[in-house]
Amino acid sequence: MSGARRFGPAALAIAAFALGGAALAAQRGPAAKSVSGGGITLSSTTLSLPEEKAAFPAGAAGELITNNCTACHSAEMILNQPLLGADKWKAEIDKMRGTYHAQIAPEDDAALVAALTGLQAARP
Amino acid sequence: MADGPTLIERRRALSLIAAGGAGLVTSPLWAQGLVDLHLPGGPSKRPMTTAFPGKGPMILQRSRAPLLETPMAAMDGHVFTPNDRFFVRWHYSDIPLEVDVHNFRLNILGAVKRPVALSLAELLTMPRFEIAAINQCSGNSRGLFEPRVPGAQWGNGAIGNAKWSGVRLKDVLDRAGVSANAVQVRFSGLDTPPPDAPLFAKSLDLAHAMDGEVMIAFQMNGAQLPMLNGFPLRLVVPGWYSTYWVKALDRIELLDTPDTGYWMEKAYRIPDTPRASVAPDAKGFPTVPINRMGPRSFITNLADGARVAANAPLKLRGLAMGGAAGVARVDLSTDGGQTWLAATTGPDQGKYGFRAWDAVVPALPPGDQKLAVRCTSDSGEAQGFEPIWNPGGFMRNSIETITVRAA
Repeated sequence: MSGARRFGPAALAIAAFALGGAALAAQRGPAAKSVSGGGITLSSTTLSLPEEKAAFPAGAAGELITNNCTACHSAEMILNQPLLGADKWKAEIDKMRGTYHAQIAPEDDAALVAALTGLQAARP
Repeated sequence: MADGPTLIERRRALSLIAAGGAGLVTSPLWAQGLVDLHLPGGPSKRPMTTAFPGKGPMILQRSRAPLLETPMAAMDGHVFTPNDRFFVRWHYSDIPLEVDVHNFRLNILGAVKRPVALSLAELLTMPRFEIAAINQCSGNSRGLFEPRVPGAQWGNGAIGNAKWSGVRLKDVLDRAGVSANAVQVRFSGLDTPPPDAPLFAKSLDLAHAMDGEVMIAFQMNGAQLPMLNGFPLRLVVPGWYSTYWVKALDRIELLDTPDTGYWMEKAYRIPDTPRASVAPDAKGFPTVPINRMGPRSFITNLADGARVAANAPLKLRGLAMGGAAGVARVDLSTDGGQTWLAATTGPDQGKYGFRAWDAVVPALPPGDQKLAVRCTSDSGEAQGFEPIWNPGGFMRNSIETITVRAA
């Protein structure tokens, strides 16, 4: 479960469905759904996240950003950034790779920075 | 770590690219389901979403990991932010999607006399208290920084106030028995990092953790926490930024040396300077972990750009906070701070919560008019017009000014 959950909403929805109420209720019975004490009841809960809608523009640059950046976060994180410039985008890539171990090949850095700055340059 | 889901995910994302494209847009923002956060230099527009379970209309900042901002209008008229409009912020995409209240355990370990794993049923038998407290993201209003800085590009809505119910952290730590050599307490939750990335964990000094105000909350505003806000347990650290309010809290570790983890040592640090502000080109300044909040105030009944009647008194209302102290006073200015008019403050529901205010400003002449609101805290700290800048985009609490068009 914890591995599958990492890969985005499609996997998330499947995982949430697989772990959903029916199977658990069958195993443990209805009593497993809540605990109470001192006038407060807490009830077991599930969450199913919505599908992502934002995406990068079609083309090689958009594909490069999608493939390198969206394993950990959705596209809005990049689309909503202010104008950063090449140095700051490179620093972001270094942080994602250095701190969060994002699977970004160093040989892709130059093309990725160009794609990110190009994405911002094309904004209205 | 199979490749399959990644490839499926990529194909799905690529098909979205193919189907996407901005299209020609001529209808007004609200008709497109967009909101304009007025971020300098943009991009400033965000979609509104109702797609997240348990949440009403929210500003969609990021769908994965979720970042959902509360529209200022949703805070208008209440001191307590409704749970279904309360902002959402997760760091990692692997967030808890299912919690079984019978199986869940809160683990207290490390420098303790006897490690314990408390069930929710046990926690519900312990002495309780309630506290009104504002939960504000360290980076709330980051999108208003000039020059702009990278990160979540929030407007002013990564903030909310709730009445929290729970148990004292001190009482829970006493169940385990704090060892004499403990110096800090580290908190983490059910969210898990990508492979090899640092676990999201935050620490408080032991004296702070034991002060009797820090809470392990199981209710907000009289209901169990929404999953997106940290069900079943969340740390409440009154007066401090929400980075410490660990969600889905399941692990409390007593440390015998200060926490040197990434989230304390590298992230969420502020300049050790007045108002945490430095010049944008400053280098090499000392930093400290972000901590207490300062005073802030907002007009909630009018948005920037609103049209109002000229030559007639104008009713304003909103919310104010003192930060780590209560609200002493709230003042309004229509002349850029040359003169100030005292607002009337509503009932005090606890020094760590919002205080409602209202005021009637004298008739405005026709044209664009600037309305500024300033809070002064019980500790004598007043908001100022000077902008705050630091590279993390943290701690903004300068005076907020909106422009209305009087006609």
